[in-house]
Amino acid sequence: MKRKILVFAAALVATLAFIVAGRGLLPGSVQLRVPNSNTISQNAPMPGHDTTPQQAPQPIVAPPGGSRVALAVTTGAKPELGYIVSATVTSPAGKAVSEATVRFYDVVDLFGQREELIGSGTTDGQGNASISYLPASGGTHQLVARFAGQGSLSASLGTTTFEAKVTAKPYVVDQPPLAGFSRAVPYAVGLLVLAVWGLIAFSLFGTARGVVATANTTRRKGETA
Amino acid sequence: MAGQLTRRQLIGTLGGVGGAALAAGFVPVAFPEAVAAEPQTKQRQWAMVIDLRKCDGCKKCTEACQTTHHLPQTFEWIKVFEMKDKTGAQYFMPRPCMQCENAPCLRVCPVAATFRESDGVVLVDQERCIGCRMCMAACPYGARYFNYTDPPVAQNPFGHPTPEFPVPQIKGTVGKCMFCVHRTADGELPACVQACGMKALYIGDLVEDVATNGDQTVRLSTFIQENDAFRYKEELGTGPRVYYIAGHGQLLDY
Amino acid sequence: MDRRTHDRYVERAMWPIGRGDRFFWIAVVVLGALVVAGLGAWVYQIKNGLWVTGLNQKVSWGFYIINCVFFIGMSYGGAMTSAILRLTNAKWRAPLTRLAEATAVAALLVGAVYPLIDMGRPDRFFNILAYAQVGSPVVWDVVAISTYMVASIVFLYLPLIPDLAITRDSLHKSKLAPIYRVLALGWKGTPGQERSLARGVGIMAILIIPLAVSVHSVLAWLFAVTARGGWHSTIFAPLFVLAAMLSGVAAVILVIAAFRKVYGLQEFITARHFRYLSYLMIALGAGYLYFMVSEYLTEGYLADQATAPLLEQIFVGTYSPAFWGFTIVGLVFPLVLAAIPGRYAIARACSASLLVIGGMWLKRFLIVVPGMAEPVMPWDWGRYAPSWVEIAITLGSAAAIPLILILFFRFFPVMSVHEMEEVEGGAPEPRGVVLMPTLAEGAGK
Repeated sequence: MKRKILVFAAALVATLAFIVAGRGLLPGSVQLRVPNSNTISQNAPMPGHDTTPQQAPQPIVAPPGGSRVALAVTTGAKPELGYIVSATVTSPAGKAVSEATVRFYDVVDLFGQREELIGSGTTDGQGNASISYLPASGGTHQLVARFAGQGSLSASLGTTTFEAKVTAKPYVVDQPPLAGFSRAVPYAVGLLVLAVWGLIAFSLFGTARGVVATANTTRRKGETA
Repeated sequence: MAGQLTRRQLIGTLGGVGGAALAAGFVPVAFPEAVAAEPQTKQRQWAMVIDLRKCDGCKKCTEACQTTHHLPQTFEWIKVFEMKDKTGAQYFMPRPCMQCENAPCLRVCPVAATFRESDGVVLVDQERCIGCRMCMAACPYGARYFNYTDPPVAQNPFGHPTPEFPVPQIKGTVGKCMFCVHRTADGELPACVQACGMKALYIGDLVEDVATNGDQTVRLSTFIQENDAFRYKEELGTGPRVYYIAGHGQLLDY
Repeated sequence: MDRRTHDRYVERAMWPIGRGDRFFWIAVVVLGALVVAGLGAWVYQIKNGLWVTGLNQKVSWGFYIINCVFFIGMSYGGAMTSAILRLTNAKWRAPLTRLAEATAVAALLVGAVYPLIDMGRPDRFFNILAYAQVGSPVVWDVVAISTYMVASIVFLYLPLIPDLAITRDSLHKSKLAPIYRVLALGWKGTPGQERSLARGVGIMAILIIPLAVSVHSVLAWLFAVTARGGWHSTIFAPLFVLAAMLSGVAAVILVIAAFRKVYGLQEFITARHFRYLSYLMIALGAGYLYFMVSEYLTEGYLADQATAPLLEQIFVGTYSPAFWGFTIVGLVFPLVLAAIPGRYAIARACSASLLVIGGMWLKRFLIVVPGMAEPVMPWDWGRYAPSWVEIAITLGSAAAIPLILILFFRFFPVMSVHEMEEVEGGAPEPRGVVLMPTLAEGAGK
């Protein structure tokens, strides 16, 4: 009886091992059939697409003869809070322009080059406006400050590039609650299912074997007593 | 009977257990997560912001979606709901697929035909889908559509529909909005975003923290914070990737 | 039991085997025609796609899912009746167990086809095995139902072995004799064989109960794991299990009554049996009522956004005729009908069972369809009306159960002879121990 149990346990373990090993062997069990999306974009014109060309990126060139915007990036007192991006707006005559609204942009590549609005400010008496900026990604950033014009002053812009070393916390895709736990549960249940199938097999084959084996052993029932 | 172990008994036991395993078809697959075919140059995490202050309910987005994906009229992968609040104020709410980070449809799919791309978009492999419609029962946003009839005839450059370009739809399977990954991979805006005349739809990347409606480009986190964006049925814990900015179609000065 | 009763018992148990009178053929042709019509409708659906049903984008589950739950539930009653009677060693079980076990298998075979009928792409069924995603309740279903099916077939077969030996011995000239010989496994009734059999049947009788519970829990979780108002309920699994038992016992009562009448088993299956089974049904029905009250009270008291509109539609709205019809005509009334003591026990048990079965079907309808039709988005309520295809398939599948039973009992003894001998002390000797009076004493009042 002990040996029987041992063999059964061994069979159970072997089957489980087979299943675990099978994860990688069976078709599609882990690796999903995902065609390469890059080939779509490179090789095939997609039907149903708009034929109108994408909006061309705005040229980042200051219109001539207007006011001037000088843009500078400095590290703040607390670098982890971001960089200080400040713009100085001056008139063609070189005079500081106060009460001017300046919008700050970071040039990003999202469906083509785009200017991402990162903040806006109003200039003070020295013509300075500044924002603090903590980029989402490191590396070289091109910044643009735009002054829309004020009174007789026409619009202008200033650009600068800077190397971002400090960045905002990267986006993390939250694991669903109990993710690890719920991955383990199926294995436990799987063991249970195997045990049940083993029991069914045991009652069927065990009984069949028992009935066949003891067919000629003793007297008929009813002849006892 | 006890003690002795016959060969027959051994085979019986082994066969029983092995057979049981095969019959039960027990091939464990963890919840299907991202397995990208090739690393992209930039790892995006797509998200959408819908500015209800701007939406006027024209349904251009729905039409563009149906054109791009060759869908029948009844398939509104992005559906515009006409809403009324208690004060009688009317507004419109477009509903694409929320591309949930903890997607109920993905978890209940028995064949992992619904899976998540590395960029967070939940796709459907219609060549694997068995059409059990469990995902439709599970989706709290009604974003899934079952192809009861033959879809409109359409050409596909691959000769067959793929998860990234499910055109034409396959009868007997389920389809849904997939953030136009066939277009975004091309560097094109999703069809609905491009078609929106009110520029109410923003497609964005959570990694680079940027979103655009084709005109304006904004810092995604700042934009949703400053405008008190909410996520529809967030309390269900599905982690939707679509943010709404509440509003009534009012005119904005920008 | 005296010799004469014993012999007559064996005679009646074996009587249907190989018989084919006019009634038999009429029954087979009528039921067969219904089944063929249902199969034809299914073929039509496979050819044309699921649009031939009344299903739509909002209500994407309908008759097929209802029927799947309903028929598999029915099967549970058969298995449970037999298993519980065996485990409690109820002496009056002998003439019933075979019929109960066969009903279980027949209803299960029919119910297990429904997921396939419901699939949009039945040709891809084996994807479930090839790409099984263990997180899916559909996969749980496939595992649980297949396990339960194998188990209930084994549970039908094992106690059949000694009776197969009797059939083999009495039909040794028949063309089917070799088949009986193989299936009987050389049964002679030696003590060793009895021991093996008792062990096997014992294991299965214990195993079949948790298995059936698991099947119905998993079927309930198909609904309960979703975020839909009426479905996302912790009580769903026990509620489904109880519903299954209830409709299953009702089905067993009907099957037993029919076979008793047609196959002339009145002498062995008496009003007593029906009374006992009625008690079982009443207990289960009362339990179900209690579960239902608990479910609706907790949901209705809070009346949150997700469930309140649903309950409104069920209690006083579109679905109120179905709901009150089920509650009063399909649950409370039949239970009272079966509970009152007095005459016409069999007739009352049968009509109560019929009402309960109809009621339980309605209840499944009330779970599936309003739960689906309730808007998850700010849109109108979904609409669903079954098409002729769904109705034809439903009728065909309902006809398939009696057809399977009639055909099965044309080849196998309708009552367990071996079990009767066992509960009677195993001695077919003229000792004057009479089965029926013992029973009569047991619940005479």
